[in-house]
Amino acid sequence: MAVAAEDVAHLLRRAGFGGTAVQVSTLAALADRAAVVDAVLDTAANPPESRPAILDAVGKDEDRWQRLLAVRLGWIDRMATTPTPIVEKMTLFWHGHFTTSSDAVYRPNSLYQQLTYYRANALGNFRTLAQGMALQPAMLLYLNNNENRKKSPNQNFARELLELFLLGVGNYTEGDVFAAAAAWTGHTLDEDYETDSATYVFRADWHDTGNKTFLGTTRNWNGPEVIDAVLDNGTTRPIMARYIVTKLWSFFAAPNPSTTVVDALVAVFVANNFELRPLLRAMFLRNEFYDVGVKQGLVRTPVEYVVAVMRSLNMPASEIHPEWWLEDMGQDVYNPPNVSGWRPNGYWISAAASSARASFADWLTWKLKDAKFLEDSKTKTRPDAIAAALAAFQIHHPSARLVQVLDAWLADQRTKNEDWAENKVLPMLVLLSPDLQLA
Amino acid sequence: MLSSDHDVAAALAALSSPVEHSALGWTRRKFLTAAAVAGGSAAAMSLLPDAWREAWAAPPLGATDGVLVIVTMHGGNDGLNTVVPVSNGTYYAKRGAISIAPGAALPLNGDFGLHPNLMYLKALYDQGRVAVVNGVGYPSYDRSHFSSMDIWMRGLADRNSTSPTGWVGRYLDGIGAGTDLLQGVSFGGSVPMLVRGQNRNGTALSDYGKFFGSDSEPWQLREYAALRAMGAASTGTGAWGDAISKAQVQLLDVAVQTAPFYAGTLPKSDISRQMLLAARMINANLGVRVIVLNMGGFDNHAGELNEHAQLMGAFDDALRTFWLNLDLAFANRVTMMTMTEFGRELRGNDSGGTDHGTANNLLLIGPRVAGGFHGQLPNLGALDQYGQLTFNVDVRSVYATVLGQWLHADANQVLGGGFAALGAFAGGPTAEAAAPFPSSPSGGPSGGGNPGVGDGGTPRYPPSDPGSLMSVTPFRLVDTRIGQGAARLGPAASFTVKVAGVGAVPADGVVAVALNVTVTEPTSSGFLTVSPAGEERPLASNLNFTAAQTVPNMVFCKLGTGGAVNVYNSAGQSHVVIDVLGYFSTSGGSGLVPLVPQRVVDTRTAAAPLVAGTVMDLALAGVGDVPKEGVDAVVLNVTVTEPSAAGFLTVWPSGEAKPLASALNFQRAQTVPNLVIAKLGGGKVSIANNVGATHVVADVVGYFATQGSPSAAVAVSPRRLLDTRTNKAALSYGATASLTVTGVDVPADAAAVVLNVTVTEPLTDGYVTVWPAGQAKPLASNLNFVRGQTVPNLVIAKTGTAGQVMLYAHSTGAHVVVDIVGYFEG
Repeated sequence: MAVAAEDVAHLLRRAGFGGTAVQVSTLAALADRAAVVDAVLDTAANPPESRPAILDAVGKDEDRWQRLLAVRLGWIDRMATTPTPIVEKMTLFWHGHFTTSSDAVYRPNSLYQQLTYYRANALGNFRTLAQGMALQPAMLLYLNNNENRKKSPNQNFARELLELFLLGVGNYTEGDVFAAAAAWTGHTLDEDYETDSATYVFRADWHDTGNKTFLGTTRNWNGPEVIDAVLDNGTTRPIMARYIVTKLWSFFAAPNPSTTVVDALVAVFVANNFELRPLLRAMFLRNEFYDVGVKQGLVRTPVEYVVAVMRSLNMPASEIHPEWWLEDMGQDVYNPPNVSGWRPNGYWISAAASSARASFADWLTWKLKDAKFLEDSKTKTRPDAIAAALAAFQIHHPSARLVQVLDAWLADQRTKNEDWAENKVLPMLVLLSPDLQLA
Repeated sequence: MLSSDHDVAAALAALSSPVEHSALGWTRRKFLTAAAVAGGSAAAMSLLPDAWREAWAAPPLGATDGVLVIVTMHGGNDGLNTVVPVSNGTYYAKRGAISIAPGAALPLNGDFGLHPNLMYLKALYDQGRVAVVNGVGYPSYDRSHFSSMDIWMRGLADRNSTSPTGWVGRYLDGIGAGTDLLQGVSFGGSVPMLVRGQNRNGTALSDYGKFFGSDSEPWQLREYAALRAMGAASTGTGAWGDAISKAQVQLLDVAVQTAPFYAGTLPKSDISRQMLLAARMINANLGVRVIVLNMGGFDNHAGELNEHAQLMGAFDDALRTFWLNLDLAFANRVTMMTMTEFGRELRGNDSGGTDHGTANNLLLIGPRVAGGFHGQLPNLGALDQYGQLTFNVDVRSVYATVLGQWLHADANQVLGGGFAALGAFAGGPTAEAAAPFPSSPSGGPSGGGNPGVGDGGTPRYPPSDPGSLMSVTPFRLVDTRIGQGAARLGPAASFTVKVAGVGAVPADGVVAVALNVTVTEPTSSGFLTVSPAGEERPLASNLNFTAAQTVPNMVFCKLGTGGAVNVYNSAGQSHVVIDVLGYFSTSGGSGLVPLVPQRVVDTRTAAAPLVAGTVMDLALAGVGDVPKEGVDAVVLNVTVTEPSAAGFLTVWPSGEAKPLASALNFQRAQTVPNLVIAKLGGGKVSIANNVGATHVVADVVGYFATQGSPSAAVAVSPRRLLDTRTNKAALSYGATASLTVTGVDVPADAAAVVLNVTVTEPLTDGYVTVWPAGQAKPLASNLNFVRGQTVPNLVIAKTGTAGQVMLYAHSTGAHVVVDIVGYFEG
């Protein structure tokens, strides 16, 4: 094989939600790493949007929860079935970066519209994405720019734009926030809460046309020019590029990238005029991406974990009910905890989060047992039974320690005259293995 | 900013084996001051058997060990609208509409008042158990949520440090070694930096239900053993894989220890649930020293008045939940502290909200704090160039105070530098039992308005003539809030209101009336007495209340001169609402047939609570012992519980338009009973709730019939039959008292008596049941209450053998006051 199967499996887990044994071996047979990466980044088969019908049903406000649920589960099902998972992975990234929470914006229609925009531009151009993001009704509502007017500026959006979306704290002044807030006055929306519809509008009478000093330049700034300025200003452009590159690497590879990696990727990002696809290609081609520290360096978020299980078992949301489990595990799509989105790794590890995952696994394995999952396990030798359980969850390269623990448990279990428990507990232990919980 | 790196480092440091000691490392001996080490005897009360407690290392709480409960308000709580500077004109000028009016705030002193929804906090303040620290901040403020919260949580002398540890975590580092998982806990899914130390880490506990891993079938024990084996050694999957597996082992440890905390129905509100779990955890005496609770939603850039009011209400409810569930044996060793990343700007924005600010106040709550104000309100007229307030108390001084005076730790070491302590504590932790906490929702149990100890025997006025009930569709007679019928009552003031000839009540032949009387918005503790106009006021009360409480009670009263009654208010300013439920007439009408109480509805066991906008029709004719025909009205004991909002129930004859009247007023989360005389319409009554959702429980305790030999009613001058406060002999748990109700002006052959029963200062949640002597105690209750609450209710009870009724208290330490106010002829 031309490419190491372990590297392919790793890439499929990170650029998507894992792969089948056949997918791994097919890609590993390609000529070189570039061919594998190009195959993963080929999004031609990305399915068209399937807008949940309930969004267009003439309904009353009581339906809003059902609408939101349809939007949530629709996305999770899409993640679990798409032939182009990199699109959903990048959409998840932008959803966590340019974030909006349904707790604050209880408008399924606007949230769906926002996510659809992120998906359409998921691997596109960062400038386009950022400019469009600012005018999404869900964002205007979430960070209150719909109420930002000359007479009384609301700084919420302007502050987060600089702090969380583009630059990171410490890379702008309080004065820049004031100026950006003034520049964004009047960018608001026409809305009708009853029908859950909202459309961006610019209200010139709310807009502050006076001079503002932003990034050291005093002129009559308008909102979108502020984003362009951050991307074009010689000082802030590399800061922005480093900020985004570091966050993307932390999302796909592991936190704390080396300066070498960041410098190289920033160069690619800037040289390609902030196009994202070349940046992702460069990331996935880096040798560092396949270092053991990176391979072991990320914990699956609850959504990634549940989707990986759904893909392994070929189970839709209507059977696995992510809406029953994800909130307790600590992550639900369309509902990040705050404007900074989700944090990696340690954020997901605690006794409480472990309990939620274990409760999910417990429920799922009873359900699987009812469906006769791995029912012939007890007729197999211990190594075969363990291999079958690992393969069922797409663990292609289990750690030696995991196999050891499973074997010791199985040896003991088989002395106990409780045969019925084998195909209940074996998948349970696999579901709670570090191998499955790591990204 | 989103600094993924410091989370990573923190988690690794905390979840892997102890890392090498850094400059901040120290030993327990070095860490603790001598005074703290001297303590150490285990306190007596525990939820868990001792055998369980030996299973882990955390020692029980010593006699002088302090427990700190931190309530983190994420998003930046508006301190200016929490503790409102009511005398500050600049606040009102700059805040404009987003301010709390001086009259609305709950007054603390001339300069400050609490947000109107902080009624329980006000009651705690009145007990001297709340310290407000004004003007708290840190140098070179940062108005990012994340950076500022990091600075607050880190609490290091070096303002620019990037240490991944929090001051509580570093405190935990010093108090012990090993894996005392429950010495520092945080409720919620993740371990905040606040409780991460160099060597030790707080444990994140679930706030929704017990953990996986506390079952005990053999196959489950083997499953748990395999999970433990995964985490017992290096997993070969790297540091994060090890951390995942170790967290699962921690889960199995913690699951068994904490399973008892999650028993029963937990409150729906996140913060109330966390508070209840925290109180149970302290009561279990597992050695917990710091508990972090988390509340979100404070970033009120828009629509603040409404959103913030809801948050304040939720916080206040949660405070009540915590302090009333905390064992008094531990309360003198518990202090609660609030923290939030920053205050809000003084200026209100145009979205009806406020933007990120700087200096803020925080609260220290508990029996040992120095109640009152500390620090200074920042000069609202001298804002900095960005329109921000300037702090005058460094937050690290607050930490130094808590660490040094409450936790007996070396504050210099934990904070990495010296900070002056405040005088915010009246004393250190002590094992002496604390005095009780205020009842729900505000007001001390002993401040519940002493109705005056009656002379017990002598009636103040002659009984009414016997009358038969003419029930009416309830109608409103008095509402002082809108000036109807009378004006708001001042201290020791009364009004007289005519009932005969008003509405459906005829001018002649009426001897007594049944009224639903509600007091609302009282400014102090007190009581109301309703008596016949023109007669000497008896030393008795119809309802007792504390400041800001809303209390309803049914009143059965003789009509006096001019067909009127007199309503007397003992103290403060009180609004009074009176609805007429029926009258007793010498011509026609129906008489009472008392029943053994029967439950006719309990929405807790049925599908759903009663939601505003829906009407519950309750068929009563032909139900149980109530006959199908000839029933004019029923007597219901109605209780609401777990209401989602303040509101009232209306009960009226089915088939008629809903009248403007209330059978029972309540506040959010209160449990309130009331006796109701309800006229039937087509054999049914309708019940509606005006706002939110509430559970409703109703027992039918009698009916009024025109046929057979029903008995006419006589209203008497109230006489005190029992007052356990006079001899300080509160009823013990399960105690039964027999009361002789006949005699004086009540004939020996009275068929039933009308009693006003008030419970006060109960030490536990419970209920009281009244029933005829000589019969078995029925499975019913006349009034339910929560610990500390003062609750009155009218009771109609059949007279038993020897003219006695029995009273049972399902509670410990409940004081009971019983007045007789009337009887039904035999």
